[in-house]
Amino acid sequence: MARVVVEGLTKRFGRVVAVQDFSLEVEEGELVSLLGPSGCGKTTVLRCIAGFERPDSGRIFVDDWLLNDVPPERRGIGMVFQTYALFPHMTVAENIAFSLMIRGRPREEQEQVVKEMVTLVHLEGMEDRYPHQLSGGQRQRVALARALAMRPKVLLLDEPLSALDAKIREELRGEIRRIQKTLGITTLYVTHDQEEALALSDRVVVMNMGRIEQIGTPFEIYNAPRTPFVASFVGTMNLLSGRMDSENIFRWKEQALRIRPDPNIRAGQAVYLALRPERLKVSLTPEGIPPVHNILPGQVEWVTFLGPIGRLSVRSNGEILLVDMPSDEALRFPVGSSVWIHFHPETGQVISRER
Amino acid sequence: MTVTLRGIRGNISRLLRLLSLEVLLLIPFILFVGLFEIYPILNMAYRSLFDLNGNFTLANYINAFTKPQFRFAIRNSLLFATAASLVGGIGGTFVAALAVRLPARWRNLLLSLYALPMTLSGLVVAFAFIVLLGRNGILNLLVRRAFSLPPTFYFNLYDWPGIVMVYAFFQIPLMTLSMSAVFENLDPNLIEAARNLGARSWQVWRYVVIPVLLPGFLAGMSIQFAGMMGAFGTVLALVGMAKNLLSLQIYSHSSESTYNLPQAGALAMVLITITGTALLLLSWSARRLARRGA
Repeated sequence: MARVVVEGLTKRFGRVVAVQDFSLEVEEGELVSLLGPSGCGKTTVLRCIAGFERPDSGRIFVDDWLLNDVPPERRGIGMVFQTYALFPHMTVAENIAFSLMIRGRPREEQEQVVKEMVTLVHLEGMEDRYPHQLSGGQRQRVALARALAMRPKVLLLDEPLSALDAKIREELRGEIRRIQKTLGITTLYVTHDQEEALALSDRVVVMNMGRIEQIGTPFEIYNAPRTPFVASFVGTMNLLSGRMDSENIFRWKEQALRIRPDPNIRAGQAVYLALRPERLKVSLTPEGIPPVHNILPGQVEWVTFLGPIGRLSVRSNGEILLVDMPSDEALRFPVGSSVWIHFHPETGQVISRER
Repeated sequence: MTVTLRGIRGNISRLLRLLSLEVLLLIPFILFVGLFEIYPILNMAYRSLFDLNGNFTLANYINAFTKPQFRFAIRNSLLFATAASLVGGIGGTFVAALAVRLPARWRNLLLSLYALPMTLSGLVVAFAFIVLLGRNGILNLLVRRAFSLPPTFYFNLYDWPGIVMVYAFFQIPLMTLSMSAVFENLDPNLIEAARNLGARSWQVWRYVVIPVLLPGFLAGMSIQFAGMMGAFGTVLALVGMAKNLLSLQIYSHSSESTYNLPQAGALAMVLITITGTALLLLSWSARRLARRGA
């Protein structure tokens, strides 16, 4: 297995900068997701590593091997495409064996590898079918098997699940992680689905407008977003725009809120306070709220039933704050009722508004 | 008595229900095909089985395969149709391959310019080529003057290569239009996937691009071949009866001094059979390939 190192990668298309100064090290056997909205440059990074795009500057290594001038067919990096890109005139077995057939490997070896791969991706009995006789999920399994059949050092997945139904997507997501762990293959996974990225990655790289916003474990990305973009893109977030009165007092309009001091934030700085809806509490009366909590009075404007959870939209200080709770609790708050939102000073993350 | 009447009335209303609006709308089409396609073919097939005096005979068919003038006509038609479809097919495929690489605006402009020749009458195109490339056509004159060549030097429009070239004027655009649709449907990810799996450029073509394009190419070729087997107007305008093609033989036996309608009918049946067989073979193989690639 191999390490992937990308140093200062920049790629322009005409005057559009698709990727700017992108650096990343992926450890052996690690699964790293590139997460961001469409057009953020994540696919371009992947295509540069695969060799389909030439970087304008920067270097790409697999272990100590500089890849910049190596044509894609000699990189030995497997890739899975969003559109599956299965060869329509070949059976499942022929698709999987393609890389070996191209290299002129003996028939017995090809059959052996096909058998192995078909078992790995659970497609037993489908060997002689053509791609159009398979479901979307099965096609993507074939594409995965085909990429793995050449024993690549690195696996690249470009939105492999985006074209699939929610149910299949979740199932295949688990399969991909299982196979990746079994083979211990270094993997880069591009997605715009934050839930997918959090669920299956060792680390997540959040990208926006061609730049890296933050690199971290799914836990860090979710709980300690460092930029307003990460805070709002990953999950649902209440972002209160205000200013630091002192190092532990955040001023939001007329309200002064006590918060955990952050060594990177100075008094007087313009900041956001990022609060996850599920970390906020709501009471119908101010009595019984722990004295240490910050309190924001408000009015329930809307209640949304989301299955296991219910979401209150509470107007406070002229803005809407979202509060999540188990749905049976949420339904106890009538629309229009006056409520008190409260939260512990340790809750929430201060994010600089200056870039 | 009443029972039968009611039964008849029931049958009529059932018949009327069957003849619902959709069926009525089909009637003009059925009439048209019947009157102008099926009836003439059956009539021709029937009449080709009699001699000029109305006696039953297979002589017209025996002639078609034994008389040298007809055997040459069949051979020439096959050779000409094959050559012209290959020129059109390969030329059109190349133009389409280039056209799909252009930005959409230029591609659409090029393709509409390319569709233009197909709207022109074959006669007009023949005369245009005679003006340009006839014995004393503009291009021949210019080349002779530029290189001080004798008047015996000219590009001969009136021989097979010339005729094929004039037909290419129709055939290449026709193929370009059908192949550009085929190329546009070729998923570029297929090529990238093949390279990613280790295929070199020629292997990508050999194992992926050509097999994927082949059904569309064969479909285009059948249109080419069918059209060229029946090539008539332009070639008549260019060379008259100086070349021996099946279509020209049929024409001469149905309207010229060599009038012999049953013989023309037999030749036409031969032409229909050859074209039909070729089309069946091409569409069969295209479908076989496409079924895998659907």
